[in-house]
Amino acid sequence: MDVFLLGAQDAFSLTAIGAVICGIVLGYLVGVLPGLSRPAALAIAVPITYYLSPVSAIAFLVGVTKASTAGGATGAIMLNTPGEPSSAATCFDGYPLARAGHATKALKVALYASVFGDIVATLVLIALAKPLATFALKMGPMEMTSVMIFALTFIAALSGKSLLKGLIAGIFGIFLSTVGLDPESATPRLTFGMIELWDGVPLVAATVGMLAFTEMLVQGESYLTRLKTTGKMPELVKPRGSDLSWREIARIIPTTIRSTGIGVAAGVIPGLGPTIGAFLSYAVAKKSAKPGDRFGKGEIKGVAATEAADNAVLPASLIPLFAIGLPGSVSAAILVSAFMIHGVIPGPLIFEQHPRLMYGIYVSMIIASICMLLVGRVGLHVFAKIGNVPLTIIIPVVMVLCMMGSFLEKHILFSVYMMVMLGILGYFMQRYGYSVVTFLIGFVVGPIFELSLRQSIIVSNRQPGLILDHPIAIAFLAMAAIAILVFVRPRQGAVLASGDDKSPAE
Amino acid sequence: MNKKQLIDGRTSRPSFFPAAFAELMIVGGASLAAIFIIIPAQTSPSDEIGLAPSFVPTVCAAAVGFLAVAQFIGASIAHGTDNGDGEQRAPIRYALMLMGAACAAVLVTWLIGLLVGCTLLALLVSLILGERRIWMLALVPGCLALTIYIVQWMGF
Repeated sequence: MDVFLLGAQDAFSLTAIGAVICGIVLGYLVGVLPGLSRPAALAIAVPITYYLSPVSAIAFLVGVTKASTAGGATGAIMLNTPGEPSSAATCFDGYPLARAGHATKALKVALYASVFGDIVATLVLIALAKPLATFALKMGPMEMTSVMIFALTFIAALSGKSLLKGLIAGIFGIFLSTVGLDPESATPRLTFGMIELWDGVPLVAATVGMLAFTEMLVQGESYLTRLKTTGKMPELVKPRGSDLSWREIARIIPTTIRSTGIGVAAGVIPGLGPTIGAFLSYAVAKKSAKPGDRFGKGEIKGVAATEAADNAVLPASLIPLFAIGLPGSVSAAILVSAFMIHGVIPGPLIFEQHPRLMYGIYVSMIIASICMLLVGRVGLHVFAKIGNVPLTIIIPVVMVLCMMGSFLEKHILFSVYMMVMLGILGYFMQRYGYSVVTFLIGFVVGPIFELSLRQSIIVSNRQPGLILDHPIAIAFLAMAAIAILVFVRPRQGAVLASGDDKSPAE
Repeated sequence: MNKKQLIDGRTSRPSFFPAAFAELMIVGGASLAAIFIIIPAQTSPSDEIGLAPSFVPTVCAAAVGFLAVAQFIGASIAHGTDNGDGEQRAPIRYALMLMGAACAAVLVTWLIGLLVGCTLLALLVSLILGERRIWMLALVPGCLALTIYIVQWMGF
């Protein structure tokens, strides 16, 4: 109890609350602005946290993530242009509602459903993460290696159009994470004589380059292509119209609760992510429609379903991260880098080694949910107008922030060069169907994976047959094999959910 | 690829194979180069009880090579159905222009400094994106330069 109070004290400090509010405002801006995705914004926000305490830093990033998810609905409703891929399903009913003069109602439904989904998922995280971490501590290196192989396979399968390309990207991420000093012999490995690489490829440079910089190249390319072909931008609908009545609130409650459950499930399973969660939730809501429901033509239940599920995914995706150190989504992977910057390694031991920090983060997450409601409600109309900022401003600003952010990590220009190189590599990977999300998750879990693999081989005395003594490891490897068999053929389902080139895990 | 080729599935075959084969050559070639040239040259043998430093990188490189071959075979059997997005790609020249701007900014950063490099990047990217209003071309890079100056002045 004392540790909890100390954690809560950290979370209620002026700096931490200020960080949460700043994160929420920044997150809303990111969510509202088309073209700037959540992972990209998170990646460039990580360097801002260098000078914050661990609780404030994580609270800030959690604020950015949560609010960008909620803010993504604004563009979907007002412009028919989702700020986030996961908000694409909100367009189905949000935009028709806005066109029919119910924009304010749609924005409020999106906000309330987002906050509800987020708070419930945060409570599930608080309830499940520690017991699961206690269970995970009983798992040996063989089990951990198997879990990581399974998770990477699953993420690779769901994050692109081809499982094999996803696996190539993930394994390449692990390969790149081996650059630096060898963990056993401490001899330089793949450093090409550069001392700057002895600590490995800079984590922030990799995340910023692969996500934010790549994203800007893709956005710039798509903007110029669109400009040459149509020369038109979508028209903004003015936020106006009727308010939300109590009767309507009562109508959306069952849908919101069910969608939150779907979102939590999508968050816990590595690789599913908010996009699949939101589309799945919308599909379920539509399937269970009652007579009189107008799905696809402007139904508030449709908006509530997608937004509740979308926002429930992030807190739930932190469950595997906190319990076994496995980031289930790219946002969670970026949070790992933020943890590492502050000397904390997420995983089952985090509850034993940093209990105060964990309780601080939990309380901060609840504070962030409440702030999200307040900031979202106050800025409802303001955020709707910000969606009009042109990409000709967003792209140069973000590209410069990428350079600055990667420089600030170590104050060496080498990080900037690495960031640009990885950004260009990320562009080509994305262009040819190699998921940068899987790459990044492979890169982040690479050191833990290598450690577990080495331990497994040493413990088993290099006898593969000894794995038969580890049924959990066999179960996860079998699931990975089944996933390969199921997903290896060309698929249309995985991309169906995303509706664009964005991967579901984003 | 023209409209006729898109309608007639058979005509897409000749254009699929060179692209998939080139992809195999790049990924598979990089994998082989890593296994036989880069990793042996960039790792030292270890006398420790555990594994050699080259173990995990070699396994990864070999896995990438194997998967690249599997991907090529699988895509060939499926007649490129999982690679069909290739025809829908945007022209690469726009991205190359932005990359060129980034490389120029990196060069200027190396020669002069981060402040000038970042300002140049903002200016070049704005120009590439079609911004021609003088006040906007001055405002965006100017504000960013001021921000960077303040950040550096504050000692971050």
